Amino acid sequence: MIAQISPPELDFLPVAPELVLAGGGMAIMLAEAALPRVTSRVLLIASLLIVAGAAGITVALWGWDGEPTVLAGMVATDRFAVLIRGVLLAVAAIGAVYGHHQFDRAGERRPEFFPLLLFATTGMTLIAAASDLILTFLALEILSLSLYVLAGFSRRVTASEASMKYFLLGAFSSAFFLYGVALAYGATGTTSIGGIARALSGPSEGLPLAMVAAALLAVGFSFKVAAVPFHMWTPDVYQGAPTAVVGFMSAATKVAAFAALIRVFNVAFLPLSWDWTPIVGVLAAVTMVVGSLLAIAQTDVKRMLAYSSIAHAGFILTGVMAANQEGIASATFYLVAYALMIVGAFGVVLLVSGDERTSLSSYAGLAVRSPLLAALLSLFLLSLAGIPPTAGFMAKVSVFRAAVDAGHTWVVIVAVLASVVAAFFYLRVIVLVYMKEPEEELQPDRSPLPALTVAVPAVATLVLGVFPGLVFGLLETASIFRW
Amino acid sequence: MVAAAETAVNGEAGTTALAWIVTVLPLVSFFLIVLFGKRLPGGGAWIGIVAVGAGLVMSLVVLSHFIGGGEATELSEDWFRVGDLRFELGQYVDGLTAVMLVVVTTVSLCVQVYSLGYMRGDARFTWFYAVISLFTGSMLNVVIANNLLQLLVGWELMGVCSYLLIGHWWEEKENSDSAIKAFITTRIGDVPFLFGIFVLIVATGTANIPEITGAIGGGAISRGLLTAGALLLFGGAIGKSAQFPLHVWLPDAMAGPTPVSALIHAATMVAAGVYLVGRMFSVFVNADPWVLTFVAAIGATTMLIAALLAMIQDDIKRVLAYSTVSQLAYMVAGLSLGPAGYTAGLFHLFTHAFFKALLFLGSGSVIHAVHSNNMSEMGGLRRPMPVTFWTFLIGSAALSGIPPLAGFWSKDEIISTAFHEQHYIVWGIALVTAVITAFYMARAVLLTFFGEYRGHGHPHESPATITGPLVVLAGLSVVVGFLNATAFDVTLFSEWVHFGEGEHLPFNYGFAAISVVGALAGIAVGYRLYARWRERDPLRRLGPAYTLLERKYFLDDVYLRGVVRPIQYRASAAVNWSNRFILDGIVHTFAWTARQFSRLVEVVDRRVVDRGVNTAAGLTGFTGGILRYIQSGNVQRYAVFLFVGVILLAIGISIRA
Amino acid sequence: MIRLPLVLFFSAGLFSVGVYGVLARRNAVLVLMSIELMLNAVNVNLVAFSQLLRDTILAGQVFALFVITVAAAEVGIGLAIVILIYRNRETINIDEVNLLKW
Repeated sequence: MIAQISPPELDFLPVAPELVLAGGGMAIMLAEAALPRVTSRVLLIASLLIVAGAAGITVALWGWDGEPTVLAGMVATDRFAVLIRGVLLAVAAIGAVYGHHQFDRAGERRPEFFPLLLFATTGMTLIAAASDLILTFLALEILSLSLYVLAGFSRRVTASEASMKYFLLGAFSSAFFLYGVALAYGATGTTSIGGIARALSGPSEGLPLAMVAAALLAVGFSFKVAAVPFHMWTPDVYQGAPTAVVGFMSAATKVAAFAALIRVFNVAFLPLSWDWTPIVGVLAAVTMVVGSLLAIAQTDVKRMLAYSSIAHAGFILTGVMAANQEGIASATFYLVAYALMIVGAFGVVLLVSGDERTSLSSYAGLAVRSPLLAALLSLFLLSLAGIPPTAGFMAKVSVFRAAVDAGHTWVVIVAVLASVVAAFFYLRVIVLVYMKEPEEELQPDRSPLPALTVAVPAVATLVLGVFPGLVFGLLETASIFRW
Repeated sequence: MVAAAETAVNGEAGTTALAWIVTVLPLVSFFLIVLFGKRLPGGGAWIGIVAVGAGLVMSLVVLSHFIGGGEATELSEDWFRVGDLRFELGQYVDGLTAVMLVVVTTVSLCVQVYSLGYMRGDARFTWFYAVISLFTGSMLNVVIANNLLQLLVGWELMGVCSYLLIGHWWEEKENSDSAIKAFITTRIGDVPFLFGIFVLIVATGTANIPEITGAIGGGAISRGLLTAGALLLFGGAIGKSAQFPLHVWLPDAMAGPTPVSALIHAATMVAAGVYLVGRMFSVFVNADPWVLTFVAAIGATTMLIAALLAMIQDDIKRVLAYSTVSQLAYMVAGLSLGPAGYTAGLFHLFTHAFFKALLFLGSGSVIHAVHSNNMSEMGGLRRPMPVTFWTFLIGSAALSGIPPLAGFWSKDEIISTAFHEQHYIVWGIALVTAVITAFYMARAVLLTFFGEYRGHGHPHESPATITGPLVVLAGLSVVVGFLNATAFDVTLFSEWVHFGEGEHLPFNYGFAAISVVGALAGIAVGYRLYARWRERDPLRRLGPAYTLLERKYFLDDVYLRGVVRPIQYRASAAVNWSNRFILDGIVHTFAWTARQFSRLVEVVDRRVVDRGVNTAAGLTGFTGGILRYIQSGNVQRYAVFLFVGVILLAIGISIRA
Repeated sequence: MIRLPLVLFFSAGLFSVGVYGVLARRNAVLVLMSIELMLNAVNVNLVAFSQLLRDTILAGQVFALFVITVAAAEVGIGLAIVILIYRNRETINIDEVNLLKW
């Protein structure tokens, strides 16, 4: 029973950023194989040019006024996708500099870093724009496979362990995700995100099946965004993987996965929102509390930031559970703010401890050794703690308010308590940095390029804290999905 | 906020439109000093001084709007929008705002000029000025904010600034500890405050203060919600304004440089709590009446216990610190009297700012000269330091409530209103406290300026940058009381700051006489005890009561043992416990029990051989417990948790479906 | 044509076997195979749904092809990581790989 399949109209412009990224990545890979003596610096510049090219096209796509989806309904062209792409590309550029610096300094030659980074970025930007669950899954795998490899990019034993744990758990969770896609397909007869929404908004006998599908999809996304109890990989991988890679993946993976989660749950499963919001609320509450509590007990800075990143997933979920435009806008703003502060914080960690001396005690007296890094770190920590006038504060206020307005006051109460607990452990690090005498000879890296790179998110964190309207203005149109 | 802001609910903005510029000036100067300060001659200090000076001039212009009986005005601009939600950035200027603008800028200006001399040669001179500017700007932002979120921004920023300033000389551990104590204690108050804001937003659907007040006036809000909101907001005020039981941070905040103490105690930070109660007064008035009774109880308690503590301090700054706590309690008690006490409470906030700033700066001048905070190492300073002496004396007299100085008018108004409103307990305590106040100030003056010099070196009068502000503040401490001198039918202040119709009591010479006699009695006792220096403080004869005061009612110990240590040491242990027994229990109860049992046997066995090693090992194992078990490092254990998560989600979904 | 629920139960069973393998097996290669089993269980599901729904564009079957490709890539990377672990630790028992914890 093969029906007539008419070839879909192909409009490649909306995926041009991904084409540039993937094509550029392959080109670098080939070039590196053909010219084995090419230096890391050249590869870095090439990668940055590719990312800039993709970013240029992305900016141009902001004014897209064609179809809401292209390539047979696979790719959404809405401004949400454009905004998220922009954030991801910025993080990728920063990550490329980090990686170049770390491997260059360690004297390791790792030219494959750049293509893998670009492939991961391709997957991330694609998942943000995917308007069909098939593409969502494919993009999820593209980004995951690249990151599994990147996580093991070090001679240290712990890196290979991190890579293995990430891989096994990631593959395990994406199997659940895939099962969810299959059930959604079975329940509604389509894998298109818009199609599922249409099928579910009418009376449908597939409703229970669709609910289970939603739960399984949530598992896949929760794993990537590190929501409790799907978070167990996070501390181990963040601690074991090379710091440069962690800086990139902690920010970018969360942005990409949340973008996809927001799209799937606010479009495809919006008709069921009455059913899933309380569950997402519980997930958010548990995530915030566990993340904040466990962060207190950490003695390793990378593990502490990992738990902090878990807690932040909870705060973002608080915005998601509002399930309306306010919620989308505030959660997206939170994502932008979070990406800036975590990529910056790991940048400071990269410069201060590299991969080896990540114990918190080695941060004692950092202010004496390097006032600039100490100030940058404090700024990022204040923002992570949600203290004004940083982007983190505005982000928290807006998700809390969106959740309160949607009638989920209890989650906000938990969230406020969790953020108070969290403020203590961020403060503890600042105290360590400023108030304690240095215990050991700590020699922070004084290279100008990465320091300059870290300064970019720092400035952005401050600017967004004072003028959040810059991003919220974009979000007025970027928080509306077209399908 | 943009200049082209739209106006104005209550009337033409007119000159009040300047108010937001007053706020922005110190913030701009903060950035300028941070960016360029080090390269400028004078370390950028003059940027801050010029900014706040200009701010003062503009504040006076704003105030002039109300001298002619101007209406409250509001300006606001959308800060940003999230969907249908509006966050605004705006100003709400009424008489109270205008008065506070003047107070904050005046005190800040004096403090900054003073610091030119006091902080000269400090390693972080430029940084100091930058943070002072930010501190001032944050307070001004709290003052003009027309919505609670903007107010919260200023409120939190002040917390951070106070932390930085108290810990300015962080090289000494004690100072950084005090800074942390201040930050954490005030944050404890911030938790209820945040919830209070949420309650009000949920109840009224807006964060805009005039709209909230309007909605409450319209009777649209249930009394239960208002009561909750009022109590929670007051929690924030307790923390910031250092009321019992969260007053413990303020005396320790003395660790900061003296000009900072002056700023914190007089015009910013602690004033914010009282200001908040004043600004959100309609919430308190319309809440259940016992809320105000509660406020009165806190105020009365704090007033007395802080004044008692001030009696026995040797550190001159600590005397003043406890005196601040006690005076803030006067304001709180004044506000707790309801609409009738509104003007009185806030008038005291106003006058207190001037003479307390004066006293702190004066004590700084003394400390500068003798290089010690302890009054036991001072004495006889009136001869080498005449300007400091006379100005300090004026400040002390104002604080003690000697007419016609500022403190007399405001304090007397609170006391007589308390009587008139039939709050006899508040009235009695306020009166007793007034006597104690006069006593401890007399003690401080006598120990510092009279008798023989007991310190080292030869103290000299401070330079003009230090004495100048003292003279200005002393002058103000004399005159500002006359803004509401009811004896002469001057009621200017109550025209600016009133709640509702704002009727005020006629001046009652009888009550005034009681207050004055009380104050004089306090001074007389002080003179009797301290006119001659004694190695042993005469108050030690009080025996156990003295010990109680010396240990600060053991409150610090209670906090240390009851709150701080458990948080420090037991939080992780608690997490460990819960994880070990709840989470892991599901997976490995049996194996664990067996292992523990064998370990127990082993421990008992080995105890004979070696006790110490095993105890240590057991302890470590216990502390690391939960995390070790939950985050065991075993990837399959993680997968189990993941799978359990899947099951739980599925169960959750099927319950919903 | 097989009746659908039967196929669904079959694939659910297959999936569960895979889950059990992941949770219970200590050998990394066997865990990898279990994950493959899970993916293939889903493939059965996809093809069955595609047939049952009489999907004109055969989305389910096409998707199954994609999944097979992805699974191949995943095995490639998985084996590479296992080899890396073996070189570092001389073991592929995943419960012995636990340096990162707490």
